[in-house]
Amino acid sequence: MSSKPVFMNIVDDLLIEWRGLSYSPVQKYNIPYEGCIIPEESSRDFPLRMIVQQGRPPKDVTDKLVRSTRDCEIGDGVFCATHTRDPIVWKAWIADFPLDGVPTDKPVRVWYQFVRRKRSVWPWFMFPELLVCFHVVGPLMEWLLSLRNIFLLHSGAVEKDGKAVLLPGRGGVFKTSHIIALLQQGWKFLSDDLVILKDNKFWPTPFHVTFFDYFYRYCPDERLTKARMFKSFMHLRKNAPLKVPIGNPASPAVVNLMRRKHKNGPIEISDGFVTDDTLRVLKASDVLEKLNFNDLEELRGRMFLNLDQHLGTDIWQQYWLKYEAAVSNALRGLPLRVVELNPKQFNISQIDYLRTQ
Amino acid sequence: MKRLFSVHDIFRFSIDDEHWPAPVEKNIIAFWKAYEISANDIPLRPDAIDIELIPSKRISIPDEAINIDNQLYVTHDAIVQKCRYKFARFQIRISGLQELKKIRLTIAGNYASHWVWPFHIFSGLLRWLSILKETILLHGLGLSLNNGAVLLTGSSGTGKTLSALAWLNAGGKYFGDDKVFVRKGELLGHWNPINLWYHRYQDNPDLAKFLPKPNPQETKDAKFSKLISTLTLGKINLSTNVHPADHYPEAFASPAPLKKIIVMRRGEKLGLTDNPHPEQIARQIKADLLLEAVNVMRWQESLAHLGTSNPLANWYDASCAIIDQLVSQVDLQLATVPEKYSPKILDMIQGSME
Repeated sequence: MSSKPVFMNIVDDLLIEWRGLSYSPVQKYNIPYEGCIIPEESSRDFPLRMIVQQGRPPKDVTDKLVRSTRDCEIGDGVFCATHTRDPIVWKAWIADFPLDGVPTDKPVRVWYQFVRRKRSVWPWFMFPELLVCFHVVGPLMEWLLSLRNIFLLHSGAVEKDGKAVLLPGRGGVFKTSHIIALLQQGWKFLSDDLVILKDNKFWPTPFHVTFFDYFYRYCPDERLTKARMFKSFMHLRKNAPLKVPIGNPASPAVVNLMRRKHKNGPIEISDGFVTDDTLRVLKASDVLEKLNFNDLEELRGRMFLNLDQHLGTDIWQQYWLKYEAAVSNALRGLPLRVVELNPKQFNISQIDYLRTQ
Repeated sequence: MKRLFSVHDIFRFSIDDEHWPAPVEKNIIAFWKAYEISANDIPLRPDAIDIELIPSKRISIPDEAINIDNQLYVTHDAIVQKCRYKFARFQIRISGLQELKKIRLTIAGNYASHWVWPFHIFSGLLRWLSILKETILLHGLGLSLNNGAVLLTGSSGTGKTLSALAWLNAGGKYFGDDKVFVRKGELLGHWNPINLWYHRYQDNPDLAKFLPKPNPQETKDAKFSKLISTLTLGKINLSTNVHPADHYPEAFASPAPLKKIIVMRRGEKLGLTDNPHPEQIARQIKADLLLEAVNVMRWQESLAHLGTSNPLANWYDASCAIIDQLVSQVDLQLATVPEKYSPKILDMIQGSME
């Protein structure tokens, strides 16, 4: 609790205040683009606010929790979810979340507490805030931003001269590697995994642990082995800030849909335009992000499904309806190139098959 | 010996039990024994789906839940703590998803995995495919009452399984304690064994009075599980399975029209509320479906990702349409159950039906 609170500004719409953030990559890996991290509480009026803090909530909040099941407790305006990620079990309490879809002046308050952890598995126990970020703050933030019609797309993106090039695709198609190659050619960085869509423009992602998946780069699959865990640990420990040029918000020019091929052979390219089918594919990729793990306990966005199940709210469906409208508005009709390649044959110096204009 | 199972008139699956390791005999066959048939017992629909389960030594899978050459590959690693599922590793190849006439499941897995895939993958596959036959697999307890059916649904921990046991002990008929098929407003049975998770029920003193008397086979299993949990310092908890076919052979209800859906939730007092908002109930059931069927949703999305026009790629939308229709047709109630389970809920339901 000794450290100062960190303030994070998400595209001028959401202010996250994280109190008592211990040493953690969450703090170190913010992209230092102008206005992202603000040194002290801004006098600016943010439409959405969120306060995250470690520890149990005060008694007047916990007293409201009346209904409980195995992994979820719900009360009047308050809910509590228990999360399990193999070595760690933690609880998160959320109060003042606008369930009816109308944002209020009150900040959303979040508390988290680690109930149990084993020392035998690492590196997650060194950086538990990463898990809170991924499973609690991330989903809450996405749903809050969706109230202001701002969405996160699972896609790589780079920018030059006010035009953005998108590289959507499922994990393992070397999005990050292609982004690195494009950066070497003078493009500016927007994202390698999640990009923010606001007012038909794509904004750089300030909060994501960027290049986090870089250690998957030359691996045939994404399973986290002990060796790769070690690599990721060393990567996080270095806590080097990113030194890549960050792009400005840009409207999209081209979409390069990346697909993974499992047989050897030449790279296959087909050109066209973004249609309903393409949009369905993009949505599928985002839904898969929300259903991140096979196991129910670690399902991202589970809190919202639990709320829907217990209270009969419509958070999940409403989110995807708004998402479809916003993404279709931004991307429909844009030039599209579908690139099918075998990641084993990937060569970082030859990426001229990508369409950039 | 080739054994045939028929799930109503929409699925027929076959297992050649010679080549399987022992747990399959004890699990998939025990799991589905209410559906075992001789070759031509039940007439199938002309568009019924044949499913073949084939054991394999090894499948090389490049990714998790991905579609290659119209075959779906599923890899499964350690999941939930506190039970044997943690030790299950398996790879499954599902082919024939394009024609949807004959589906082959090739399964390669370690010993522990044969306790897991029948629940996680095979049930999921039936859930996914049944939407093609206008049938939906819902999470809940189906009770047969006054020539009609009542569906009790709600999140885990609201007392569905205990209600099922109390109901069966009282001589009632039922459609399934955890899942039921619903087709055109009619409930069809899904009679899997009643699964009592050791870690959930170990501290429940009331459970004993709901349980049937153990048969000798079960006692033997219990001894085995005690041995295993001693050896592994209690890290594996084998659940107890109570199969209705062993203890309540008269309990299988024949298809009946669904008259009422009751959504159960935890609260302070036991009570039933009439006329909840149908839309709200529909949303609750949809969220429950999604939480139950995350892996099916993942398969659907990975089919959609290849841009196929496969009807299975619209599984969730089709399910939602069925749920909306169902909710508009039947009576709805909300039940509040306290933390300590009481079988009075069954009396209240019976009372409200009269």
